[in-house]
Amino acid sequence: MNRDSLPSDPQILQDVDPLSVSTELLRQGWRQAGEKPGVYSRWTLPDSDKMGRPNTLVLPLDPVRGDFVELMRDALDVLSRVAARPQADLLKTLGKVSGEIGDELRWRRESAVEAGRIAWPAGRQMYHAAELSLLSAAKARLSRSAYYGNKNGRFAHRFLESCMMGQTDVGSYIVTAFAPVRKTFGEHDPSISTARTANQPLFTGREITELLIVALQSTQEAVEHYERSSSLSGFDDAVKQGVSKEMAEAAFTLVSQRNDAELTVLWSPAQGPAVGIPESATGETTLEFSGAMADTLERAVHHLGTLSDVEYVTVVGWVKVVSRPRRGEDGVVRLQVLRGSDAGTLRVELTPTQFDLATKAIAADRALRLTGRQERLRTSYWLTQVSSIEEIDARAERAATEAPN
Amino acid sequence: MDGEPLTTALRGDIDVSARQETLQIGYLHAVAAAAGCTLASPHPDVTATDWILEHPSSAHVDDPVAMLKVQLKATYQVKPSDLNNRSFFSFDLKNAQLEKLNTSKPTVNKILVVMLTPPSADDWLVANSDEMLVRHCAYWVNLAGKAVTGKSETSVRVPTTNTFDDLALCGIMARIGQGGQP
Repeated sequence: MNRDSLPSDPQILQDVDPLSVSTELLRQGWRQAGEKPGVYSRWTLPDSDKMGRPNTLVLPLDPVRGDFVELMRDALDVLSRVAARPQADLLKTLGKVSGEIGDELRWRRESAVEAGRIAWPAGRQMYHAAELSLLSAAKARLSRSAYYGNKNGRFAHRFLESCMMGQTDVGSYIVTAFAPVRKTFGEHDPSISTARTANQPLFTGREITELLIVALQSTQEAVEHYERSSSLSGFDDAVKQGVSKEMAEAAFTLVSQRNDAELTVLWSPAQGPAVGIPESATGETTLEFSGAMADTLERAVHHLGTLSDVEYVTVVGWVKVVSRPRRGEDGVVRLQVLRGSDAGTLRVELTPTQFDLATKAIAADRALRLTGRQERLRTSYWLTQVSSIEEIDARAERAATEAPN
Repeated sequence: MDGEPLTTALRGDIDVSARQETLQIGYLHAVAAAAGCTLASPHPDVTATDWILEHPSSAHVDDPVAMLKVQLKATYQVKPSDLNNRSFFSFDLKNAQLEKLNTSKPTVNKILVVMLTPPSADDWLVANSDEMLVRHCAYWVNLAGKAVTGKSETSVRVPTTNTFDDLALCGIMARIGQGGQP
């Protein structure tokens, strides 16, 4: 047994689904000999040849326990030794069963040379496009913006670092990535445990990959809209779906040589189908990009870059000033931002119903949580197209997040 | 040699820690045999724990086999005479090793077994027609939840009441078999 083939990354082992291992054990003729329900199951291999190969193993079932990774490593070591299969191969099988290895994303691009090869610069472009796609999808999951620059960068890189680069495959040329499915990501690094990480919203890897597909579909629609109308306004609207300058750039990079390209996601079966995304009977979603899209995408990249002050945000803040011309009309409130925006103060356009809610919040000394389109106009920030508004007890929430763990 | 008796035995040239390890493995096998345990050494080079012991009994709840992982350590720094009227002795464990043993809610329970030996192998064994004596004695401790406090090593307390023998091992396995701790 080559020790080098043992998976050393605890995260991979932590993510292995015990159910998929027990399925594989049964398939290879192992029998369960005992268990402590929810804690471990104990397995033996009947009729083993006793050629010095182990014939018992313990499969940990509770990933929360501190020795889960250690026992999983032992179990997979025994399993691969007995099956005489490399660990990586075994993990791939388990991943197919469990989905814990991730959703598989395959970027394919036509190559003029023989299958499986690509000119070096074109290959580099493909990896760049793949990385940019993953990063911009993660950034958009945290908050919408037409252009990110470094914004949401740490969050996005934490996601990227949890992805695996897969082997390329024979085809024109294929770049493969495995994105985590159930692993969650928050705005603040959980390894730096502070009050901020305790109650932060978390997004799963699957949610980020789903957003990538939705945003790229919106990109395709915006391209079609441009072809019909010669207007880039479709891209403005698509920002809400997660499209950004970076996302458009990723799509452009894929087809920049006027070549055709496609992205296929093989959704991990264990997690089930992706939410709100059409997929084939085999659990795949394929998006095609034609070389003819390149010019429009290039225009969109420049266009979205100029909308840098527009983003879709969810903010929490105190209502300070309310004003409207007369009862029953739209009004404007001034919001002192607690979180969710770089703006200190936001001017918020509200419908009559929303406005009434805002005035009630002042009376009740409660904060508001609002989602809408934030735009910077010279020195002031505006929030328009408010899609959701709710009163929250910000004082209680603040007290809770500031309490020691 | 011309039949001239050796005053000292020709012991093999292996270093003292390797000798101690082998001695302690023998001790562990003797205790496991008397307690009715099977034992295996899964992959001592990969995982921290040296040995996994299995104790089958119909008295156990859920799983009819109670399991225990054992990490062996030996020292000649602590002498039996040091233990008089002491409830524990201290043993310095590398932090990395402690971290493998201090899982607070483990799937499989673990103990550390520290054996005290005389410094010289000349003094380790005595055999006669009635008995085989192994010197000195090993003690066990459950380090679950024990925090790492030292810079590179942490001093752990090993209770002198925790003699590691067959009765102790039977007791440990009985508790684990009921869903308890060692």
